[in-house]
Amino acid sequence: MTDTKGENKTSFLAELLNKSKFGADEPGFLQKVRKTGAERTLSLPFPTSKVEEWRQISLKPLERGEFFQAERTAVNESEISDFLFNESSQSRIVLSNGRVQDSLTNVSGLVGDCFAGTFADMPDKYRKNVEKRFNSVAQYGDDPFVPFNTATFGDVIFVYVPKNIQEKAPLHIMHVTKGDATYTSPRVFIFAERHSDITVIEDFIGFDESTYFNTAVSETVLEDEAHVTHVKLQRESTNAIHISRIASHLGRGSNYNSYTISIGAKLFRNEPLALVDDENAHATLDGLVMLRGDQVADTHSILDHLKPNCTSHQLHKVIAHDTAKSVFNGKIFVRKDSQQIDAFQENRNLLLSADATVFTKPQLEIFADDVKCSHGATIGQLSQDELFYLMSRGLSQAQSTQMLTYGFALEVIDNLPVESLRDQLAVEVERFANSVSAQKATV
Amino acid sequence: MLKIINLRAEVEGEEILKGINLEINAGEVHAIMGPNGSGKSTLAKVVAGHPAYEVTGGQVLYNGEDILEMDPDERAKLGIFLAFQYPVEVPGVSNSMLIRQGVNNIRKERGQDEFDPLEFEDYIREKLELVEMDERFLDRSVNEGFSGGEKKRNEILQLAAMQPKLALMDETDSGLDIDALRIVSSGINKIRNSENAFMLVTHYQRILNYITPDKVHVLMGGKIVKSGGKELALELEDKGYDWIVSDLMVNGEA
Amino acid sequence: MSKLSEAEAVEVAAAKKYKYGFKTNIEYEDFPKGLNEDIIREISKRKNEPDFMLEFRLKSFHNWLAMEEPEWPNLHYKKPNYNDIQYYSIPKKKPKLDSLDEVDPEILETYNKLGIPLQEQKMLAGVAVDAVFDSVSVATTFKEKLAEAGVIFCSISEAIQEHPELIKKYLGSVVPANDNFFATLNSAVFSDGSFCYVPKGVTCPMELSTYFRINNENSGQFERTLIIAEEGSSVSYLEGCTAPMFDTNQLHAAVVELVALDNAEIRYSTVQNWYPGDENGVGGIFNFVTKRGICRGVNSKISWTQVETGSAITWKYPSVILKGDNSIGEFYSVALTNDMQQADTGTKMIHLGKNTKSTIVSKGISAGKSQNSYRGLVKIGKKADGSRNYSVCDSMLIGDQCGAHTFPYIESNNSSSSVEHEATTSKIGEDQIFYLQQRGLDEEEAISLIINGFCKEVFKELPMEFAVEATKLLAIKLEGSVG
Repeated sequence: MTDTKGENKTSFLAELLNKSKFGADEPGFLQKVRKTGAERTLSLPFPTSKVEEWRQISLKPLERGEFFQAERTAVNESEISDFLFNESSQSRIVLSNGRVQDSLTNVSGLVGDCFAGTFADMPDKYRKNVEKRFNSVAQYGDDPFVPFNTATFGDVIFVYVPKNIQEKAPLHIMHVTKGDATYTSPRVFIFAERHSDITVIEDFIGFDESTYFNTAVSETVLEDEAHVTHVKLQRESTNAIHISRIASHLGRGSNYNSYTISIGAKLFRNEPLALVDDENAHATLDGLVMLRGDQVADTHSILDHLKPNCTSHQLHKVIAHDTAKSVFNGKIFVRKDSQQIDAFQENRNLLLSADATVFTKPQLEIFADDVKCSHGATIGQLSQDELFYLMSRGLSQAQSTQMLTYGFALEVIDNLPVESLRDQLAVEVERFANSVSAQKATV
Repeated sequence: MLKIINLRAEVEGEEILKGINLEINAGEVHAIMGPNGSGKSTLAKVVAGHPAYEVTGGQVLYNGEDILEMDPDERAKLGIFLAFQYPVEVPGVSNSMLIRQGVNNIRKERGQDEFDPLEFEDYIREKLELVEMDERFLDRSVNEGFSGGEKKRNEILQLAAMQPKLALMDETDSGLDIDALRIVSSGINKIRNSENAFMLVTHYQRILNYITPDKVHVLMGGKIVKSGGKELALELEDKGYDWIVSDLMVNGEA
Repeated sequence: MSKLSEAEAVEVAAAKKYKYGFKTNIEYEDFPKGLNEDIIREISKRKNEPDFMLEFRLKSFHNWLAMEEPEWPNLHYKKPNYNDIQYYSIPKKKPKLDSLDEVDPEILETYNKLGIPLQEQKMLAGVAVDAVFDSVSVATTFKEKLAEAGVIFCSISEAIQEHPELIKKYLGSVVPANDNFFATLNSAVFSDGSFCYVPKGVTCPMELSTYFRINNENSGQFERTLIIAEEGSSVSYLEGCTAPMFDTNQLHAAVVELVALDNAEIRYSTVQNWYPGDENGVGGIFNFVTKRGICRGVNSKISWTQVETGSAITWKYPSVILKGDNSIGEFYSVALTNDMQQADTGTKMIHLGKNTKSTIVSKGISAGKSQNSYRGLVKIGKKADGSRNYSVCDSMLIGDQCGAHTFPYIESNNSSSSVEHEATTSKIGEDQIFYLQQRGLDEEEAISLIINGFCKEVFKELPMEFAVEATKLLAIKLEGSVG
C-alpha cells in the first residue's frame, strides 16, 4: 500500500509521441499549447497500480498494445444514422479519427453569435477568452493523459456562447474512431459567457470489435450565472481503451450539470472534475455505467468546493454483469472557509453475476465546519422482495429482472435533457437488461 | 415582571422589530397576534436570547433587570421559558436526560436541592399526566421521530417540569388537531397561576377559546399596532387582519 | 501579583486537560538504545525465551529491515529515529511476580493515582487486571480465581515460559511476522503484554483488563496481546492507556491478535488516552497499533469497541477476518481529536465465509486544529455468499480550523451479498445549542450532551464503568474548544 510514484515509465506515451506527426499548418497558439503538453507528458511518470489513484485497474492492455496515430478517414452517413438526434440536425459536428468531417457537419441551427467549430474558423472576438482559458481547467494532478491529449489532439472543437445567449438546440459532437491499432485524442473546449445557456452532447462512437485507444479531454468554463449541461456518451467499440477527463470551472451563480453515460469500451476511465470556484454555484456530476463481458470501468471524480454557499449533487450508478469490474472513487473536497456547502453523493452498484466485481471509495475531505455533506454507497443485487412482487403479479423472472434493471438505470437517464437521447438510451438499457435476464433465465 | 421598552432587532441586516413596547405582570396571560412575518416569533426569540437576532435598540427588563446581555441559559435559570414553534431534534440525547439536567440547573439556581434520579422520576411522572404523555417518551431522543403534536406536548411537559415564571409560547397551537390542542391548553391552564405569566404568540384566535387572555396585542410590521381585551381576538377572527390595516388608515396611524 | 510565565501557564492548562501526565521516579535496568540483531538477541536472552521465540523475532527483524514506513495515511509527522529508541525498559526492582507485595511500591502508587488499585482486596469485583508498566507486566490480579474456571490470564512473557505450545500455535497466526512496518517491528522487539486463553465452553467469569502505562521518556512501548477463545467460550476484555507528559514523542507500536473458534465470542474494548501533546503539537505519543481478530470458527463473533481520545498520532484499524460461516464482526469507534492531534483510524472487515455479517459504526469528532480521518475497508470475497455489511461513519466538526476525512474502501466480488455505507459530516447546530440553553443548560453542558448523543451508539457497546469514563473523558477533552 505504499504510495511510491510509478517508476519513470513514460516510455509508452513517449513512444507514441515520437511516432506521431502534427500539422505544422495549425495556428501558432495551438502549436504553443501542444508543445507544453508534449513537455509535460515526458516529465510525468506513467501511472502504475502502486499509485493510489490507479490502484484498482491495470493499464497493461494499453502498454501491451501497439497503436498508431489514426489516419484521416471518412464516415458514411449510414454508419452513424442510428446515433443521430433529431434535435441536433442543424447543430451537429462529426469528427472522424479526430478531424472534422464537413460533409456530415451542420451547425447552421446555432443562434446568432453562438460558435462551434475549429480555432481557425472562430471569430477573432472570442480569441482572447479562449486563449486565456484553454487547457487551464483540465490540468489537475499528475497524470500524463491530459498532457498527452494536449500534445496530440486533432481538430479541437471550440464552443463559444456569448453573453445572454440561450442556445436551444443541443450541440451534438460526435467523435467517431475507425480502424485498428489507432489512437486519437479528441478535445473540446466550451466557454459560456455570463447568463448564457447551452447543452452539449459529446458522443464517442466506435464500430464492432476494432481495437484503438482514445484519450478524450473536454473543458468547460462557466462565467457568472451561466448554465451548461454536458452529456458524455461513451459508446466505443468493445475492444477500445478510453481514458477521459471532463473538467469544468464554475463562476458565481453558475449551474453545471454533467452526465457521463458509459456503455462501450473494453477498458475505460472517466474523470469528471468540477471546480466550484465562486459562491452560489451548483454542480451535478451524475453517471451511469453498464458493463458486460470482461469490461473494466473506472470512474474517478472530483468535486472541489473552493468557495462558500454552493451545492453539489452526485449520483453514480453502476450495473456490472458477467466478469466485469467497476471502480468508483468520488472525492468531495470542502476547502477551509467554504462554509454553507451542501454536498450530496451517492454511489449505487448492482452486481448481476457471481463473477462481477465492484470497488467503491466515496471520499469526503472536509475542512470547513458549517457544512452539510453526506455520501452513501451500496453494493447489492436486485431486491428479492421487488422480484417477488413483480412475479406475484404474473411476470416471469426474466421479465422482472429486466424491468428492475431497467428501472435502476432509468433514474439517471430520466434527467437527461434531450428526448431522442433518452429514447436511444432507453433502447440501449433495454437491450442490456434483456441480455441479462435472458442469461439469468437459462441459469 | 416583563417590561419591553422600544425594542428593535434585526436578523441578517433586516430589521424585524421596530420599536416594541409591552408590559406583562405576574398572573397575566397576554396574546400576541399578527399575520405571518409580522415579527411575533422574533419577539419571543429575542426575549429568550436567540443568538441569530441582533438587538439594535431598546431594553428588555425582567423583574427590573435588563437581560439583553445574558446568555440563553442564564435567562432560563431566571425563569424564562420559550416553547418553540419548531422544537429542535437532538439525536441520541434522551428527553429525561435533558429535562433532569435543565430542572436541576434551575433548582440549583434557586437554592433548592437537586433531584436524584429516583426523585426526578416521581417528579416527572406527575408532569407526564398533565400532558397525557406516555412514560416511554422520556427515554426517546429529544423530539427525534416525534409527530408534530407530540413535539408540542413535549414542550408543555418541559414547561411543567421547569416551572418558569415567564413562559413564551411561540405558536404552540399551530399544526395541532383539536384533541392535541385541548390537551396542550388544559396543560397550560393547570400550570397558570398568580405567580407566573404567559405570552402566547399565535396567528389564530382558536387557542384563546381554551385559554382566556387578559390582554391581546396585534403585532404588524414589527410594531404593536393595537391592544385590547379578549374581545379583540374575536373581532380579529371575524374581520381578519386587513380590518386592522384599514382601521389604522382611518385613524391615520399607518 | 506574580504572573505565571507562559510556559507555566501552558503547563497548568495542559495538566488540567490531561491529569495523567505525571511521571513516576523509579530506576530502570540498563539497556542500550538502538536496534540491531544483538539487541534482539539480548531482549530474548533477558527474557529467557525458548529458541523458537528468538527465531520468530529475528525473522521479523529481517522482514522489517526490508520494509518502508507507510506514507499513505493522512498523517504528517517527523518519522521516529528507530535507532534512538530504547527497546527494552524494565524497572530495576524486577519483581518476581509471586505476590503483589514484591512489586515496587512506587509503581503500585502510580496505579493507585491512575485509579487502578492492584491490591486485589480493593479491586472492583469482577475485573481482573494485568498492569503493564513500560515494557513489563508488573501485576496480574485474580489469577487464581480465573484458573479455577480454567482461564489462563497472565503476561505474555509468562505464557511463553508456561504455555509454549499455545504461543507456538497462535502467535503471529493473525498478524504474521511480515504484516506491516509497525507490526513487524513489534514482532521483533515486543517486550510484554497480556495473554488470555479461554477453554472450550467456558464463559470467562469476570471482565479482563489490561492497563498500559508508558513512563520512561526514551523507551518505546511494544506490547503484544494474544487472546484465544476456544469453541463455545466467551470473554470480554478491556484496555486502558495513559502516559506522562514529555515534550518528546514516544513510540507505541502494539499488536493485538484475537482468535475465536466455533461459536466463540470475544469483545475487546479500548479507552485510549495516551498523552496527546500540548496545544502546539509538542510531545505526545505516536500510536501505531495493529489489532486484528479472526473469526475462525462457524458462528463466532468478534467485537471491537474503541474510544480514541489521546495520542499525537493515532494509526490503527482494528479488523476482523470473517472466515467461519455465519461469523460476525463489529467495530464501534469514537475518535476525538483536538488541538494538533491527528488520527487515521477505522477498520477492515474481510468477509470470506458464507453468511458473514459485519457492522461498522464510526463517530469522528474534530476540534481545534486537528485532522481526523476514517479509513476503512469492507471486502466481500468470492465465496462469501449471502454476506452483509452495514457501515455508518459520521463526522462532527467543532470550529473552522480542523478537518474531517472519510476514506471508505468497499470491494465486493459476490453478487449475493450486500454492502451499505453511509456517511455524514455536520457541525453542532446553533439551534440545538440554543434549544438546550433555553432549557437551562450552559453552553458547555449543551455541547457535551450533544456530543454524547452523537456517540451514543458506540458508548452503549462499552462496559458500564468504561462508558461513564468515556463520557467524562470527551467532556474534559473538549473543554473550551467551542465558542
